[in-house]
Amino acid sequence: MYGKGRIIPALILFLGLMTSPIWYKSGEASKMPKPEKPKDYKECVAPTQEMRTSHMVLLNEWRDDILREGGARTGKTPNGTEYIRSLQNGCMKCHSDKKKFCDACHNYTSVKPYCWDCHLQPKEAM
Amino acid sequence: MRILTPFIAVLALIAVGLVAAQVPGGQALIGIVLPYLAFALFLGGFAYRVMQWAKSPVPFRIPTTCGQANSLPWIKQNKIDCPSTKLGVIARMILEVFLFRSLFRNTKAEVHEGPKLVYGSSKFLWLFAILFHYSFLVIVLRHMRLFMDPIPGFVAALEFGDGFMQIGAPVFYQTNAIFLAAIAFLFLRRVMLSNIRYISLPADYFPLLLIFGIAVTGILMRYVFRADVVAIKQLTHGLTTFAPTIAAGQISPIFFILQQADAHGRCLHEPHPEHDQQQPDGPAHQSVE
Repeated sequence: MYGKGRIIPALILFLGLMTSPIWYKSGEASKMPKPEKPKDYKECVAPTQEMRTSHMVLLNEWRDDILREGGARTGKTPNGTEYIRSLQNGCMKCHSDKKKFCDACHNYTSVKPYCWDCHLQPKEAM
Repeated sequence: MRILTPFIAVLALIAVGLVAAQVPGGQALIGIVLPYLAFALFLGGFAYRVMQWAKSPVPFRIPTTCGQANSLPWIKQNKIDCPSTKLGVIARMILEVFLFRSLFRNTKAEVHEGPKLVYGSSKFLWLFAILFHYSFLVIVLRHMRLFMDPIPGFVAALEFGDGFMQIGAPVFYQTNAIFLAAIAFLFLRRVMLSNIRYISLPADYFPLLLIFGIAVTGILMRYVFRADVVAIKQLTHGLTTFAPTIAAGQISPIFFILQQADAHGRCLHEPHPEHDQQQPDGPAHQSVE
């Protein structure tokens, strides 16, 4: 074998880099985020799984519909409950604690939505 | 035929992913068993290839160069292209590895009326190759958010820079578009230019089509079919901590299609000789992209 002195250390370095997520001080896999669910309200504007994957799309749709198309401020769930289509006055009415709800999953997956560049956070979370 | 076979192979990989996502046990196979297998094969295959290369006698460190070699004192040497000092070698390697210098030297030859043969510089291969590779690097590093916890700072910095235009939610990443455009160019170059098409083999088309498939399914998963990121991180982070769990019914099939293509890609292709047999530095590189 040629160039042993350089190739072997370089190869070990490469293997170390490739496996770095494994030996990185990774937290436990069981340490899942537990967003706090509101106690007083049972129903959301859409089924849980849909909200998990697509709540950001819904928020964008509301914004476009209300601010640009002049859409209605209120909506109705399939069960007929009325709600306000608004982040601050709708979503945050039930999910009032940003830190315990929004941030739980967003921090876990490194998502930094720019909602709060403009919108005000509820007071208790500030 | 040379293009049809790899195309069918990639479609088959996607179909297997689609079917396995619905079959009992298939999710565990594609989500847990195959990734470990593929990763082990990738590392093992890579190390094996490097060792094979190190064992092969090579008469000259840089077999072919385009510059003037070190010669008589009044003949000017091209110190980077044909280095005779360690510093020159380091400079040549850094420029080659990080900036694809040999692709930058790419030329084209055209026959005009006369007949007159005209040579010219051709930088598009270099441009799209470098866009492709650096976008790929950014995309891979961005994915570390799913494999590490706590998430290192450089990942957040990359995500911020990449989503700088703040288009849509989830935010649009520029590298996704650049990446697709670059692959499309590299693919079309092989198909449209008759001389490149003539030397292209299934082994050239397969990685391009496979990577295109991975990119498209990934983009679809993020913007169209919408996957549950928390459930995915539970699985991927579980893989790195050797405690993988699949949240039942929370991960959409598109994720498994992506993983299937991805896992097989790494497993079968990366340690494949095609990527390593070429000299680490030399004109052979020109035909590879």
